[in-house]
Amino acid sequence: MRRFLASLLALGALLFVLDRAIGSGMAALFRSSASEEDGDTFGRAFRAQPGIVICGSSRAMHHYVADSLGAALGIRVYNLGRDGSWGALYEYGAASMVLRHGKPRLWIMEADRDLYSGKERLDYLSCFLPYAEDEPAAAEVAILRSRWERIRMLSRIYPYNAMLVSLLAPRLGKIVHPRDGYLELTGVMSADTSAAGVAPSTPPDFSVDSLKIKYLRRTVALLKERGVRVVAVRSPTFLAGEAVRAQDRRKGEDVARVLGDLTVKYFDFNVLDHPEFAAESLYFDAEHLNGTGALRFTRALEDSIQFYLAQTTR
Amino acid sequence: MRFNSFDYFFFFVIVVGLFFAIPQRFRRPWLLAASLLFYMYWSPVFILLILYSTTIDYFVAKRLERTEGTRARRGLLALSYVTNFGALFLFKYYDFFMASWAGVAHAIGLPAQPPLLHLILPVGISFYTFEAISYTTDVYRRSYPAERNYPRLLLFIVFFPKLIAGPIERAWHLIPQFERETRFDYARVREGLAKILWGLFKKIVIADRLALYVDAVYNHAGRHVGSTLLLATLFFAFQIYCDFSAYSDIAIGTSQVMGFDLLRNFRRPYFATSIADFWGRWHISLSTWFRDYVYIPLGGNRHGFWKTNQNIFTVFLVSGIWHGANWTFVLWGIWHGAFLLLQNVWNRFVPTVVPPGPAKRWLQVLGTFPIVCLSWVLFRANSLQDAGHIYRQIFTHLDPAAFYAGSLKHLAYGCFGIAVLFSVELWNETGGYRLLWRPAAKPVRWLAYAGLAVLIVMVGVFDGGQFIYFQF
Repeated sequence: MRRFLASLLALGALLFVLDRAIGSGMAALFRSSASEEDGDTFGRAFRAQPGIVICGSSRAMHHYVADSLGAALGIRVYNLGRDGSWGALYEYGAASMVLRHGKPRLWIMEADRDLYSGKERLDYLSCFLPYAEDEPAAAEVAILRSRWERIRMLSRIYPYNAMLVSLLAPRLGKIVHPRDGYLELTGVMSADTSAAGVAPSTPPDFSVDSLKIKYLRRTVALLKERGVRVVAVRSPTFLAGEAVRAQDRRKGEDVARVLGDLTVKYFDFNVLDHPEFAAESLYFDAEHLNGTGALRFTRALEDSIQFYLAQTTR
Repeated sequence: MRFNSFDYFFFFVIVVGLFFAIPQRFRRPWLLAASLLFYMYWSPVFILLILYSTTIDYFVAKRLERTEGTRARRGLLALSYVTNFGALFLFKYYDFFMASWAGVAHAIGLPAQPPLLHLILPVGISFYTFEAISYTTDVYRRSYPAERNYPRLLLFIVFFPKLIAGPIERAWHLIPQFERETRFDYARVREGLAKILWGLFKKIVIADRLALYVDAVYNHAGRHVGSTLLLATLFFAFQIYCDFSAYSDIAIGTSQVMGFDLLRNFRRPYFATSIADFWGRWHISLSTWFRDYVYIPLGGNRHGFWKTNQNIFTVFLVSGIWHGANWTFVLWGIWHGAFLLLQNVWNRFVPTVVPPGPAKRWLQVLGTFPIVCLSWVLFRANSLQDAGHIYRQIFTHLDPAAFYAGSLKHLAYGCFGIAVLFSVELWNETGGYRLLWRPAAKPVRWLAYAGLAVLIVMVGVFDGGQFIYFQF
């Protein structure tokens, strides 16, 4: 037994050393990598000191052409959209961290019912793990992933879990460099996808998630408290058929109701009210605009934002 | 309590730690208490079902031993079968059969609206039911004596490492081990822990990583082309193998640490040279169960070539139904039965032209793997319609231009995991020593342990799902 315990202890020590060494290497790689998928996106956003921040899921990342919007408005814009991050918890973590390093004039949330309803997907909060040591808000949100998260976070490697390939990718030249967080999608969706639209993947249950709504309220309160104006935007989705489009507009009305309660200005670009986004040539797949679609959408948004900023400044 | 969770880690440390800390006479009761707690962690109420069936089996077995008359003995065995299979049928198959019957009735124009129960399936019911059945059948055959000690019989049924997803143990193999004294054996403990580590690697790094791609494709099968579906099917072949064999490795490793041996469940199945060979390597404890309690009672190979094949086909049909109350599983069983039959006919009527040797062996491996791999479509597809679509796409629409890669990092890690698995399995299959749990040089072993642990943290999926076989 004694021999076993000694071996276990020695193995534990070896693992500890390896964890610290590899973890430090990963941290250095993380800070220096140009990767958008797993790189230091928040760090880049802090350093950019943007006047407008766009936040949300992959739809945010691929739909809002930050530099174009910035040029039109004369303000530095940064896109903090992130694949899979469609819930209010991501908004809260991102807003808290950004506010710690600066004060944007406007916060744009990419909004759908996923923002406050449906079961929250907590695994995507792993993007906060590399910041958990320095940013209290990142730690607060990251530990919600599981009740054992605090223990996992004792490891130095864990915050960089599954990041190695994407952190190394830019060094191997396998990456399309994002522009202020915006990542362009190229290509047009296949005929099969366009025939299906997004209807089959639409979750049937849209009951309000108490955790999400709590964090949505906290996010809006936090931003307003610091004098940051908040708007929510629902960017276009490809929908096949009038019935599905009408259903989608009703979804948008639900979102408007919830955001109205929080006194958040809301712009809905549903295809029924904005037929200019109905063409499938604007889409990469049913849920994402391609580069052409994104540019057209951003231009349409510019007017709304410009008008809103002018109105609220007066 | 998932094996790949911290809950299980702490449970394991406490149970094993106390197991060796307390005197011998308390170890069995402690294991029994821990096992009951382990099961009740999921759903406390279903432990009553286990207690009920085990109690019936306990008394039936004792009575069987004393009874001489054939009719009375058969009646007692029937009582055990009705108790065990009755519960299994009620919880797992009732709704399936009723819905299928209603579908048939509706198709021929008869009104049918049978009441459905929508019961929650008690975890592990297919596994512990088969263990209980094997026990009473063995006592009936007088190949194993009735257990006098009720807690010991109960421990055989609920022994926590194998309770939820096997290996399906036999009374003659496990119960005598509970009677022996157990001592802390450094070599055994080391070997057991290494198996657990390898199991965790397979589950967390390979299976759950591959699942991200497989689920993304299979859950929207209608949106994908053949090339994507083919890759997802290939990935699923490795996912299910790593998922299920990981469970077995952790179960066997956990038992081994405490001084108990469980039956072997896997032996590098994708190196099988035929479908028959595959079933001698895949879920071995289930295959042997079917051999002993279905195939042999049906007549086995004692009544000529065609009757043998009929028996084989029946076994695979039942095996398909055992896996799940869904027509996809039934067809999956039929698929394997049909190919085995085909192989038997081929072997009997077609003369061998390729001389035996490594070349023939590898040709056979390469011929068997696609058959097994394509059968997984039925196993994984969400419906028969999906399965039909997937087969159609795979055979008619391998358009590389419409290939869906998903997240490239998941593909990269998935391929890396498969490469590691393949290397280790090839090493073992071709007779190399087992790097982790055979007496290799200490630095090599430690390097392997540390490497696996680091890879688990670096590449593993920590929010991965349940083990696939839990649903059965």
